[in-house]
Amino acid sequence: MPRRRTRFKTLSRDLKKLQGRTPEAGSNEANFLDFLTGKTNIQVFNKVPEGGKVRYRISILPFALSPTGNTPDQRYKAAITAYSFAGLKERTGLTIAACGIEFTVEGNKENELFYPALIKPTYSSAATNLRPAATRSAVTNESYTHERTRTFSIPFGRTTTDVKDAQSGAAETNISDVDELDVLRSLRQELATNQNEANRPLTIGYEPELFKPQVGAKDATAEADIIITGIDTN
Amino acid sequence: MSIKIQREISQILIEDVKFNLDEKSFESEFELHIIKKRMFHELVEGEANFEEILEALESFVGTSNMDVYLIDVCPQLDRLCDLYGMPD
Repeated sequence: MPRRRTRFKTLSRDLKKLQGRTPEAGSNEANFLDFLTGKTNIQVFNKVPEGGKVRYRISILPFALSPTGNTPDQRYKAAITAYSFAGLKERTGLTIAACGIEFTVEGNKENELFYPALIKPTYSSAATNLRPAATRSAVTNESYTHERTRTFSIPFGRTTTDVKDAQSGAAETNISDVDELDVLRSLRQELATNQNEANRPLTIGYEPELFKPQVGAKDATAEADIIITGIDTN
Repeated sequence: MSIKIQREISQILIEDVKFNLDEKSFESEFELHIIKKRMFHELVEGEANFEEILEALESFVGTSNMDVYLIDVCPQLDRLCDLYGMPD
């Protein structure tokens, strides 16, 4: 069974201890009560504009498959938001070719089970519409400092552009020899050595490429395994 | 579990790597990040339950109490709860 967790466990316990008495004004319990009764609310500052949320189809050559070349029929469609694409272009110093991204063309494969690998750099931001650097908790009214950041989720796939072999360090020239770690390490290196110091990331994260396994499907080792009797196909 | 939620949880449990001007140290921390991410996804793909994942992560990150470890990443947990609602 999953563990049960309670948000604001300590504050809830402290409030219960008062057994219905009014908490002292300005105390954490009083501020928490204001939060519970809706007098104060958590504000969400980092709102991506509507246009930034739009997801666009691009194509990726997956690492999990062995390609015979970089042809449209071997590339899979994946998605990137306009926000992350803008970040890729404006802040990362990367090129779309170095991420193995191409725009969709006729013949690209559509597979909802394919999730491309992601590299996620986080940058410092000076945007004034983000949470103020010195701010107060909406729950306890305690002050705290906040670092304004922006994170972009950038899909990547097989490419030979600016990729070095992770072991030998030699430039990759054959697309079928490139693996996920080769591209990931090359991108990390590129992000970390951005000539524009303001565009060096605060943190970098990674998510591996996945082909989600089929759930609830039976193995069919021969045609006879697939029982089709009594199924109306007309 | 959907891949989107899976990735949100792995983002909480396995923090991004802080940029470090010391290239060697940054590189080794990033290599560890890769191992943790891949291990997490293998655990999930292997249909381990959440309790087993927590126990494996506890031993991996060297804590005997994942609750205490998670307190450090509470703001991200709150974000997840806001996005997907509280688990019951």
